[in-house]
Amino acid sequence: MTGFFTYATKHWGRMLELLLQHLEIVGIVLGISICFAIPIGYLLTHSKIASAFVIGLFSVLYAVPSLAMFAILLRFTGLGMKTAVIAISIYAQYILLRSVTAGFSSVESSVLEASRGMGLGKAEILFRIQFPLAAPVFLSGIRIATIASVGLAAIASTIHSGGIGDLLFEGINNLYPVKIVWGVILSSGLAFALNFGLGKAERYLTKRAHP
Amino acid sequence: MSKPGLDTLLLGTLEYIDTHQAAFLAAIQRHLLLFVIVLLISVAIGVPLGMASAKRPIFSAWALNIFSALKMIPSLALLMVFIPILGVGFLPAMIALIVHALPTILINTYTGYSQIDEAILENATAMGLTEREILWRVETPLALPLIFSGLRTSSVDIIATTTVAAYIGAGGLGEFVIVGITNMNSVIMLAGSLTVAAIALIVDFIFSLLQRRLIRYQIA
Amino acid sequence: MAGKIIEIRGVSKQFKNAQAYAVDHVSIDVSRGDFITIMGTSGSGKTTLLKMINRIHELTDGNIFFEGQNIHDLKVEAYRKKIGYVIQQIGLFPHMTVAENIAVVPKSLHWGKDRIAARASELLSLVHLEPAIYKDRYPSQLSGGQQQRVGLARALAADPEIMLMDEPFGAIDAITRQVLQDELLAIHRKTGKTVLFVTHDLHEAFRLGDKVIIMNEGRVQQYDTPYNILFHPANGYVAKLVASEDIIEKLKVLRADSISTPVQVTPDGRVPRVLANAPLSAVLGKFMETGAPQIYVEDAQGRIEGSILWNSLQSIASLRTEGAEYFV
Repeated sequence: MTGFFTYATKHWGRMLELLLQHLEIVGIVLGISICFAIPIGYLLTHSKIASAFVIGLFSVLYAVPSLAMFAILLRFTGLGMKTAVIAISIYAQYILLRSVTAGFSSVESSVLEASRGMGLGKAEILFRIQFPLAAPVFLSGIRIATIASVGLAAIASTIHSGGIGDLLFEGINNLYPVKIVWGVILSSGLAFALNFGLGKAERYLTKRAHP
Repeated sequence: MSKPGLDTLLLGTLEYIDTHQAAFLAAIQRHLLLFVIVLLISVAIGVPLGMASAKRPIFSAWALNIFSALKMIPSLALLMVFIPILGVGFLPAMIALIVHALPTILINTYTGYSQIDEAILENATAMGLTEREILWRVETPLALPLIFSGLRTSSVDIIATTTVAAYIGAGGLGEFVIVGITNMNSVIMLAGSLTVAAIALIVDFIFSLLQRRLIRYQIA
Repeated sequence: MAGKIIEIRGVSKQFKNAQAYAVDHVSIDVSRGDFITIMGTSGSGKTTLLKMINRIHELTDGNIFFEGQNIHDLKVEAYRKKIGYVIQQIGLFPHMTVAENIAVVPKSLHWGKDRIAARASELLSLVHLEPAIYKDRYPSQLSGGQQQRVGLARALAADPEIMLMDEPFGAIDAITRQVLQDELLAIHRKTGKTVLFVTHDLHEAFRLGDKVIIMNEGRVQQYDTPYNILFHPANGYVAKLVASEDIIEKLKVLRADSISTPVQVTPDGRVPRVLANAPLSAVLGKFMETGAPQIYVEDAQGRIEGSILWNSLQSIASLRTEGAEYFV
């Protein structure tokens, strides 16, 4: 039991470093995925066929087990964070595309008709009407994608991407339970913290969209 | 790591599978076994619990909170957390997988039952149907699509996490992937990855077909 | 040409994958300041026609001219901002307050903050919603009738020349609808704007319109005053449509000012009076109540603008509807 706490006092530096690495991966993944998902999702709302096709394509990719995905990509992009980011972005993209299209669809058609008829331009409608109203759904997708990414990034440490997974694997390889416990606490803690923060943002945006 | 051409690689992979048939088949069997057991147990616990929570709001409040929290725990962490207590092997993997899959199935079942329009239930009661009849003839058919989509998502997830469970000695196709990564052997790595990906895609496809049949039956 | 705000020339609309024309070679002129109602059953093309005017639907054939310019040559968004558009489902922006909703087009036109605030208050008063109370409310806090009033105010915000209204009171309860119709007429009188109002309700069409367009199967069946449509239907379809109306019903949908002769007199306390927009059935009631031979028609301010003689009313009532022979 004491080993549990002494480990932390001795190695908190490294634990912090791994935590930040983990956050870095999740951050980059979400950053890239959101930048793609919002424009692509917006375009997809204009064509049911394109939407079904693209989301269908990603749903197939989403079904591929993550470890397998990492392994397959290894061949092309090597070991390390880059491969992890690419692979996890694919999973995040599926989640985000679905919530972006759902978000845009959640805006009532009467609101859109009124704004068109009033003479608002497409850009005005997008930024002043659609975004504020769709934002809660976007954020719900972002939250889910973030938590998924935290879990996937832990697995990615097997392809040398760094992050808290390192702690877990070292724990099991070296038969060092304390590391396992800290790994579980840190990775779960990160997931809970991000969920809490993003949940708050989601609630805030929901209130702004429907006061 | 040598980088042979893609076609030679794929040929090499097939060759490898061919020469290691016994081990491969055993891995597939172990993988599917874990998948089916975990799915069945999760459904056996999750669906009744989900249904019960939907009917009793007091129960549902804390049940939902606990299971939503469980859902957020990284799968790798769940797999490893039982090691200090249960060691490595099939059993801890199975338990961890159940804990991982249960929340999704339970929450989907709960949502499936609780999203049913009150008006429909009122109507059914007014028509004179008994509680039992309403449950089986009205509520369950209406909840089924969501329960089913939970099953589909969970299944794909279980197969994926089972792959990772090879790290804690559960066996399965993940072993090939791990060996491949550790030894920088593309052939072994691909043998495991492509096979497990294929299995996951097939299972997902089967579920999507069943879903379509289910919806058709619903509309009719 | 002067006074014609909208000219619709040979306009047709055929939707993709549809055989039939939704709107079939329609030609209509709308004079500035008129209140035109467009009436028809569902599928008659009335809403499609309306939506072609503000280019929600593009024309398959023909031309529409707004103040002499072909609307196709105008920049569509700038054009639409000159038109007030009110729809049945209202479509208020849920994330904006009432004042912010009204301010949308003025803001887009870069009006100053103060001007916008003043305009919002002015319009809220116009639609009988106390500005101090309602300007910071959200749509979810309003009743259906209140929401549509805000919708109307929003459409009037940038002071458009013309209002397009697509069954705006369709989702409102019957009692509120009556009130809103009266208020709309009052606003029309006050502002002099041109209004095109689509409805499937015969009574609403006749009660509100200076002129009525009857549509069926994409074609204009008759475009005339309510009086002419009721008593001189142009064809069998219109005749059948109005035939179901017995004389009392007909009197209900005609306004006092549609048959009054203009006069200029000072009010005589003994001659009974009715409001200009009172239905003829009320005029009839007044005649029967008072036994007077003549009734004055007064405007909202109490000034006498016309007079109706009992004989005139009686001759109208006894008028046999032409075209009665069109149906069995």
